[in-house]
Amino acid sequence: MGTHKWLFAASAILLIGAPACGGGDQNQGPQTLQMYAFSSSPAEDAALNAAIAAYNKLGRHTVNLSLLPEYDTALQTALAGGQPPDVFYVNDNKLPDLARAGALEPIGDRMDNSADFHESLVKSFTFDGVNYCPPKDFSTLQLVYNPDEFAAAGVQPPTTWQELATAAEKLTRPGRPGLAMNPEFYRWGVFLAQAGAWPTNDDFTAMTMDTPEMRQALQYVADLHRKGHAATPAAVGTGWGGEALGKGKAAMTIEGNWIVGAMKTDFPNVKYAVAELPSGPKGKGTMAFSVCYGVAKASSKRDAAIDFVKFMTQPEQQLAFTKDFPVMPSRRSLSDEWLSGKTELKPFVDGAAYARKSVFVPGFRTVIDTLNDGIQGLAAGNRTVDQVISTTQPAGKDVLGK
Amino acid sequence: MKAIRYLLLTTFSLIFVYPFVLALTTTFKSRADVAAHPVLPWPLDPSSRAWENVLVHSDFPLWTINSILVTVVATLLRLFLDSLAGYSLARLNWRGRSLVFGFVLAVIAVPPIVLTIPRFLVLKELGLLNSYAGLILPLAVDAVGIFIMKQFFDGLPRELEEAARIDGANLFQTFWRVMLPIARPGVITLAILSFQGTWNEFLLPLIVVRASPSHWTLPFGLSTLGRGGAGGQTFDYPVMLAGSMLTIIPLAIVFIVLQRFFVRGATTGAIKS
Amino acid sequence: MRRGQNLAGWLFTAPAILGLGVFLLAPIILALWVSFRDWSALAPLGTSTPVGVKNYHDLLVRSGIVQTDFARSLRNNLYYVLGVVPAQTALALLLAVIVNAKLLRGKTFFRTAFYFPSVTSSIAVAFIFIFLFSPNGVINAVLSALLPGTVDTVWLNEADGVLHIIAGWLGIESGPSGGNIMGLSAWDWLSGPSIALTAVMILAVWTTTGTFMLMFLAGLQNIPEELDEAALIDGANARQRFFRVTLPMLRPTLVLVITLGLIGTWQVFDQIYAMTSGGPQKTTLTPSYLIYREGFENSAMGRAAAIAFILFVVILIFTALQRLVLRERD
Repeated sequence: MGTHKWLFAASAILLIGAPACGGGDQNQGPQTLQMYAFSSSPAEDAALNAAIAAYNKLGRHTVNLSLLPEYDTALQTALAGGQPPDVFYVNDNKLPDLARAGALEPIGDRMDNSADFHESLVKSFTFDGVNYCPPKDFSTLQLVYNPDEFAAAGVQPPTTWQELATAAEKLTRPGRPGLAMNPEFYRWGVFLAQAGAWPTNDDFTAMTMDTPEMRQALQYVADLHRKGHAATPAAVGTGWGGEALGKGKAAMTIEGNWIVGAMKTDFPNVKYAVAELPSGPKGKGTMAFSVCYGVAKASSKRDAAIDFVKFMTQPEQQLAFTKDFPVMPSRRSLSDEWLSGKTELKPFVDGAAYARKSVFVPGFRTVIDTLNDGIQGLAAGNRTVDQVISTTQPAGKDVLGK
Repeated sequence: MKAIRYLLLTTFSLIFVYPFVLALTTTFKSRADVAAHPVLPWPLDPSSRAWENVLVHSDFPLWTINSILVTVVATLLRLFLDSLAGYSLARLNWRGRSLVFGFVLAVIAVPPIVLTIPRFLVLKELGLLNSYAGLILPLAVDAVGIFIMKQFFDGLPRELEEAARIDGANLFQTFWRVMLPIARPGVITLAILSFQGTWNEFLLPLIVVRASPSHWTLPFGLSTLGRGGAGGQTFDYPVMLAGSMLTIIPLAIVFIVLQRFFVRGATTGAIKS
Repeated sequence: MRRGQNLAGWLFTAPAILGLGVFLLAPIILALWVSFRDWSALAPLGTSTPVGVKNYHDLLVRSGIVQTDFARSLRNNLYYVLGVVPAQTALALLLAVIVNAKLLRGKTFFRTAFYFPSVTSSIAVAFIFIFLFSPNGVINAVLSALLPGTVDTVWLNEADGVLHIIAGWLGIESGPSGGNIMGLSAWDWLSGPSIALTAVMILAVWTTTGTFMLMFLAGLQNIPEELDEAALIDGANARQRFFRVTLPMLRPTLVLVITLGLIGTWQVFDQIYAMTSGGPQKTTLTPSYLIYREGFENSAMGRAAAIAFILFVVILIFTALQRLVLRERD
């Protein structure tokens, strides 16, 4: 009977398709590790693939890399499904959630010469006193601008809020703002830092949205937008600050190290320069973002995974990785050598000294979402600073519990 | 009156067809060309960059194979299981039949979106996440299909069935050799509904295989194409549209060949309420 | 024979029952259980803790960001339904009536052209529409040609509500404060769909009209010609014939189309995912998208499951309501 053959074929396909059993013990010998990561540009793809190829060549273990779009959600789906990758990037702002949920094997203290990592980065990946994972590298935000446009408008890189406002005004042409920046906390936050404002206090025990400093900072950036001297990249028909700069839809933007790789790929002929962000009422301020190599607690190949992470965080590897994709090495001992090849990126390095982190407590993402919603409203001109503060403050209290 | 009619038809045809035409021709434009002449339905500076990007530098071929595998297996399973159940509910006399039919009618009412989290949970517990089985099994039976097939078998004459039984065929043979062939129009309708639904299915791959790129199917793979920039918010239109075209074209071919069945599918698919 | 049929009946339906049981019934029961628990989704299900009705309470009663977001999603989806269902129904009926005309040339072509968008991938169509609605895309080009001045709206980034914009033209910039329902003021509830959501609505009408047109066509072909002819002999004009003969005869189809439209529009997800991800300013957030966001982005599976059940109830209420309304007119 034809049916039987047919059913057999169908079930055979299903069986082949079924997942291989994930079990297995902490066995010896070469392992195959699954790694999840993300990438912002072909330059970063290439750097990462080269590093993994170098490791695989050693013959200890083999690493399979998956580059996933919408990374945080993809990682979370994998964790929720109970089949996490063995090694994965962890964004610093996600660390509290992952740590509290017990998804991470604490490996931060098991690296070679771990005292060499920047202290502030280690702090980002420490939760409840446990150092979960070694920092991969980091980026800071600074002012990225088109020097030709600056020269044409007779503008110097601004050093104060007043100068920034003037520069933005001078660089603005009808239908084209001087400054383009994403409407989100991860950009506007630099002005909060410069004003001495921040969503919470330092030990995350209380919300501090409702302060004069916060009002001053939000109002300052909102005013730039209201006058048309600043705009969101979307408002000028682009996706992010780098694209706005590359397409000449803005003369300056606020972005991080990743802009270098993206400009090289997408706008190789556009000239740009990096300057430190201006000082606000409370001095200099910017934000730093970092990523660490997490190892899944649920992985059965943790030892192999740790071996791989040790390799990736070696000084030589860090230097190789950050050469063409110029994020900054997480090891202090490498700073000078890294900078020697790319002095034009010095402002990013300088930012490390005074940058604030976007690391809060588990569940804080909803608060950032609420703040971002308000920031979008400020940029679009349909919200007031008071409204933003009066929605974000209680949203944060909900999470902090006070 | 006639003139107005044709004017209306032409206008609406343009509205429904032009986006596809423009999308197709845009895939041959360079990015600069798209930015400068987004409305022009032909490229000024023809470029194969987008197609190379999609066919060579993305996993599009893999996604296509996955889509074909999932669609074919799920559709075959669905045809077999739905028509078997439909036949049983229409023609066999058994205790509990009305209860089972009531169950089928009840689950028709469950909106798929409501099942997002539930299905994820069950597939997780069964260990079917990140597998082909996880993509196929939830689509292998559907209540609407059972209902359609039951209706279809209800409308067939009983004489042939009786003749087959007199010839000594058992119930399965009667179903398989006699009734299923007569029910071909119904089966084709169901096949098309199932093919179309599975080929375009987005939500299931999103929750089942998002973390496993080797299992991605076309719609989910497509959703990741052409996004660049730091926040993934820079659109590479020619690449996105080339991917879209490749996702649409296989279905378009099936559609044109089997058009009359599609038309029937759309209308039978609706009998459900 | 009867005994054989008893066994075969169960055997033949067993795989289907198993399939529906495992992938429809069991999920719902499991999710119902999860909706009364707190589960981060980052660790095994066993680590979740029971929280009673907290998830439902947070969504419906307790004021806070959870409730406000849910209220926003309901508001957005409500406007989406109110805009899309009548538009797609009317357009589908119009196209069906025109295509159904006797002696129409190219009938097959037109029918195919109108129906084709309905069978294509939602993501592919969403991508085409992202392109059409891009700042220097076709939509703005056409509008610039038709309207004075240059239109360069960034459609998918425009959070202003359509009703707010119209109110603005009339000189009303804000409503009376208060009237707070579920964390949104009356003014916020009355915003209308945002420009971004309107773009998604246009896409929805464009893709679904074809299917409904086919249903109307099938309905039209079931109307006996004698009826129309009798009306013609009675001296009824085309319009009278449409409203007095055709439309009443199409009633079952109309009920069907509206029902399917309601069920479909409350489930809009793919397009939102591909086009706007709930933004700008949460004006394209819908309950379906919120389920996904809370579950897979915000680590709140219990809450996501609770939203799913509330959405289920909303859909049931809307379809029941619509049946009630259409029945009463009989």
